[in-house]
Amino acid sequence: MVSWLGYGNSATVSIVLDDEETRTKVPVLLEDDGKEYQHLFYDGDNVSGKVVIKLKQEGKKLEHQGIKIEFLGQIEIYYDRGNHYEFVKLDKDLARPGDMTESCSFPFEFLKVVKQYESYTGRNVRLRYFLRVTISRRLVDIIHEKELMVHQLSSYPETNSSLKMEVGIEDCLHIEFEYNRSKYHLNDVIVGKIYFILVRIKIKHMELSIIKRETTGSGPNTYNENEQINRYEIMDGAPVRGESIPIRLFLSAYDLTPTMKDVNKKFSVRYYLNLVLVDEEDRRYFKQQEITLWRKSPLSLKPENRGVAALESPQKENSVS
Amino acid sequence: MTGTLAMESEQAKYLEAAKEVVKREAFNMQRCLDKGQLMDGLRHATEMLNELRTSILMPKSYYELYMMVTMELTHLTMYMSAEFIKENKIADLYELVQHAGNIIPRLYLLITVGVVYIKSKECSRKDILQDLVEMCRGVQHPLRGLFLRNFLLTSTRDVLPDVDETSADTGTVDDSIDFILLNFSEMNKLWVRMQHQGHSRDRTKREQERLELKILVGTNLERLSRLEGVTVSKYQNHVLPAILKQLINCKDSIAQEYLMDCIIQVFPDEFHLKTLDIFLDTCCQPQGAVNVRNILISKIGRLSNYAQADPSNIPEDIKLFEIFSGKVTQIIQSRTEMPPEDILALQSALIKLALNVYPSETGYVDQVLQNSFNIFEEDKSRAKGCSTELSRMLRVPVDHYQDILTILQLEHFTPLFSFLDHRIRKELCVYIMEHVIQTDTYIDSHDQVDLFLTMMTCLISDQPDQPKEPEDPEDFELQQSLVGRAVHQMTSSVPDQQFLILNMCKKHLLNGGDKRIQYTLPSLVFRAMELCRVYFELKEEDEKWEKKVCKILQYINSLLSALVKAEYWDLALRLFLQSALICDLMGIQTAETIAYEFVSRAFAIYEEEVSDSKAQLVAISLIIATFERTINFSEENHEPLRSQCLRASSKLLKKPDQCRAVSLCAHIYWSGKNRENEGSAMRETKRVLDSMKKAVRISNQCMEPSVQVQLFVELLNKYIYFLDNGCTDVTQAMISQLVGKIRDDMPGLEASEATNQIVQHFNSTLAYIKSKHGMSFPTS
Amino acid sequence: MADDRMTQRLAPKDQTLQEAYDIPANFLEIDVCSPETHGIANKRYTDYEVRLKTNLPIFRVQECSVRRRYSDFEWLRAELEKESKIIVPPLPGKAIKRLLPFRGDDGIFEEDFIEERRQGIEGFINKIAGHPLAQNEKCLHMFLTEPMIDKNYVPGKVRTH
Repeated sequence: MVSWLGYGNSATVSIVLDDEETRTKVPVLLEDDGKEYQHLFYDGDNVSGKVVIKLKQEGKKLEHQGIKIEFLGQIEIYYDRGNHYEFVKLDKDLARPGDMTESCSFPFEFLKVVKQYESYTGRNVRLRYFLRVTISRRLVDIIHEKELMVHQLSSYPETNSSLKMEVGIEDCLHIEFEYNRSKYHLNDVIVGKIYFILVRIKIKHMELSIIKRETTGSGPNTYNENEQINRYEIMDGAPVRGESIPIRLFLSAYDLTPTMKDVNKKFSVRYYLNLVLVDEEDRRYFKQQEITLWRKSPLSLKPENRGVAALESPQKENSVS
Repeated sequence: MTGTLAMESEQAKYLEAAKEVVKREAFNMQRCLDKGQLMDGLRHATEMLNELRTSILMPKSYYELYMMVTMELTHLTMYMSAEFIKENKIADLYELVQHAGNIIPRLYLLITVGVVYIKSKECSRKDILQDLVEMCRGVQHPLRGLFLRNFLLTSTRDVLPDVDETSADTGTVDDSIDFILLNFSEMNKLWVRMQHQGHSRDRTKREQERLELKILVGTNLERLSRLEGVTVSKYQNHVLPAILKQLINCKDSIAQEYLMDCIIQVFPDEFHLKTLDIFLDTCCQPQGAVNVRNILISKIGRLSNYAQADPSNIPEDIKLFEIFSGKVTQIIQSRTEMPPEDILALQSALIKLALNVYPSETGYVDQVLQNSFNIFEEDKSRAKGCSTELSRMLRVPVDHYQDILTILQLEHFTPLFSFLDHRIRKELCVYIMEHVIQTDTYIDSHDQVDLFLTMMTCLISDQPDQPKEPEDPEDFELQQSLVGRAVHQMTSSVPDQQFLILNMCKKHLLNGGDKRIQYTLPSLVFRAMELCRVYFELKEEDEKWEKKVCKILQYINSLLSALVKAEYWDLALRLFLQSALICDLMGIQTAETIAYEFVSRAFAIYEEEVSDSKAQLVAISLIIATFERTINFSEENHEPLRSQCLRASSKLLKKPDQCRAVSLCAHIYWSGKNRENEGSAMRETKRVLDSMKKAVRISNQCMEPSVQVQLFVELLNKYIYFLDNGCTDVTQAMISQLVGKIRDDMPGLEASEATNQIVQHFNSTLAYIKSKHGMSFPTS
Repeated sequence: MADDRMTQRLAPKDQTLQEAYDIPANFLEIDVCSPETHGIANKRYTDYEVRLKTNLPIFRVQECSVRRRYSDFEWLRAELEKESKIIVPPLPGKAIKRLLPFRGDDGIFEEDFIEERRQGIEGFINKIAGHPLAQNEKCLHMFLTEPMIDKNYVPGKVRTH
């Protein structure tokens, strides 16, 4: 922090978590394509540690109006700049107003903090948790923030029926699709099949993609942002009736979040499976089906290295002419 | 045509471009793997495999590309085998490659990793195999699917559970069977469906392309056949029915024909034996447009070789011939649209089967012939236009038996000839006849001769269906000479039987008509003469020999009469004379009468039918010469005949002819024989010299000087002959006189080649006289 | 032993052999061929044989052939724009330049041009006829199967029987 106006002393603030060494860190992609690691918390975890304040010039007096630390949960809508909705806010005073003449640290502790939402960074909205230390001063406060990552765990859904439906275009195409579940955890595998009942169009191939729909706002001010997460070809060529095409899609290959519905009445993130058939004239026939994604406790996941990107390659089609 | 060429060069261009990419990506893959960067390696492998997603390459080019890509994949396999198995990371890899977005590269990688995974023994082999074969359903494009599944099949060839596996967990041979059968039926489906791709006008081209790909489908069956655990019973109860089910229902003749043939080729013979019924029943299925013909032929051929290799290969209770014969009949009857050439090809195959497997059972062959006959007899239209095939079928037993006698035992062989075109029928007869002669087979009973000549009717006599226009004379002569030669194969060592044979031949050959008998009857005449000699040799043993000889002589007479009737004068004359010699040889009364008759008939022909002077001289010379050879004429018959010779000679038209014939008569008086002087020559010197003098007189009347001198020289030689042979009444004066005459006339001759020859002949003669008789005449 | 998540599948439905080997039910082939030029001077025009082969039951015939000229295709295109919900693909250009007088060649009756146009309209008609949402348009059926086009027809949908 720059000492501007050349008045008084200044200080740098950092927050050291108690369990920093042992707590899981997750990578987070930054807007500038960089990557940083954030500590991962779950609902009800204690957040504790110490605030370390280092004076720029040791021995010189730093006058302040009090020092506090806050734990904040906040939703930011990008197009609604400046409007931050805080859905959680806890604070602790670390020091009464006075003067600091040497660097020192202050322990803090938020016990069993309720974190009811999952951290999320989308196209139009962001939900974040962070700790904020404020050294209040007469003119300019010294503020330091530390981002925390929160994952919202779910347990295995009570009902999880398969998705099965016959769809088609009258007299042209009848298919039956079946996905083994309607709810998938983020490391899950979508297993299914497409059964062809009537094929009177010249199909070239078929793909299954995941579409993520982020909805912000409400009423007339609702904004939908659709994003196709992947392109996964499940069939090459034209089937005849009676053919069953297997589906096996590993969700771990993609960067997904749990389904979020009406988070704090501000936004939703939903996922759809989009089955697309493409004919020889490149006409596309599709059927979307919503699936629910949830986050499973990592303890029950097999420890493995899942950080590998999908083996996607640039699309390439040799079209027949 | 230019279209095809343009397309080919386009193809080459596309292929080249694709290969470039494969080469580059394979290189990059290898480089990454060398550095231990598996993820990047896989990314390049994916790029490489993307080339197999193409739709523009035709099967041939696609195959080339596929070979190149799969070759490169072996590097990946090796790398993974070395690096991953030890780290237990192969399972993760199996999942990881499934993240690939495109299905073609994804499945090729999945198979590649799957095989390494199985080899690592970290997983259930059965599960992985099943997973691979099921996941391949995602590729429904026929060409790409066929190659993908071929890759699956070839990649897993070393890891399929076989007999040694018993644990249900690692899989058993039954799992391998199910795996291959599923892959097979999916491939067959794609292969058949391929026919319906693209524009309908390219149907033929697509059929061609499908044929190029057939091996991909067939490899499944080949792999099944190499599973040791596929026992006869598994084959019978599971494998074959499953294959046949696809085959029948696909209703595609290319697939049916190829796969049937494939089954026949890849599975062992004992399997075929056990499943003959079900296999053949499938062939008979009416809904299959199966080209039964080739399949059955192939099957028959296969089992027939098997049986031939070792007859004990075929169990007693399997009546191979009956089974095939029954099915073939059934098929032919049920498929009325079956072309005759197919029918015949099937029948030929049955004949071959019978011949190879049951060489001693001619009945089987005959049964096939009978069936064929019945089929054609029932519906004559089915025999139309298949003469060549039928003839080919009939040649099979001929070639096999190498023995006409066995053929003659086949009751239904000859009747089939009636369905052959005239030309083909004749060619077949010629073929058989040449065969008989070449193999030097003897037909030694008159019954068989009857059968044989009936079979050969086409050569023996005119046919109702023969072409109107006359045959090429050369061909005709060749054929008929062949018949003449064949007569010599109809031979029995028993004389009485031989006589029956000769009569049988006569019966047939006399049907030949005037144009044939000139070629065929002489053989019979000579065979008959031969038989006379045989009886003559046997006269001590066979008391009826005289009677028999007379019968033969009458037989000869009847043949010669036929030739006379057909006005083959020259031939008849010669044969009369030849026959007369045989009669004479017999030395019995009746024979002499017949001999007299023969010579008289020869005289009659000479006098009435020979008009050309040259021919006359030849004829009379033959008569004289024949008569000179006889030994058993009585003086009573001999005298008038020799007078007749002399008379006829002096009546010849031209002086030189007269001269020569008369001088020949001198020999009768010199060396002729009759019964009275019991084998010694007549030696009637006076008559000899009279004849000679007469000849000299005639030559004196000759107007042409050079001919005259030539005749003198010839007569001089005759005198010397008689002198040499002890005719002491030939005087030096006679010779000197003749020499003098020649000397006188010689200078007057015009110089010519003919004159030179005369001079030379004369001088040689003088030289001979001098050396032999010491008579010296100055040379001219 | 690895977990079975990577080999999970739903069991495929049994396909009957009939289904497996039946001729695919999506056969549709339209050839535009045999161009012929008729008439003289201003009345001169080229028409083409339009030959349909299909096993789609919506077309009541399996094979059929009619003759159509470029303007008929234009009519069909306009009708589809009006009646169907599809984005109708374009026709090959009208070749305005070729219609200008005083050309050294035969203008729109040049062989090369006719062939180029033939390919264009063949592609066009196949695209239309293969489109599930155009396939049932009355105008398309009339165009492909009726000898004469009745431009006063009542638009509507054809149903599969």
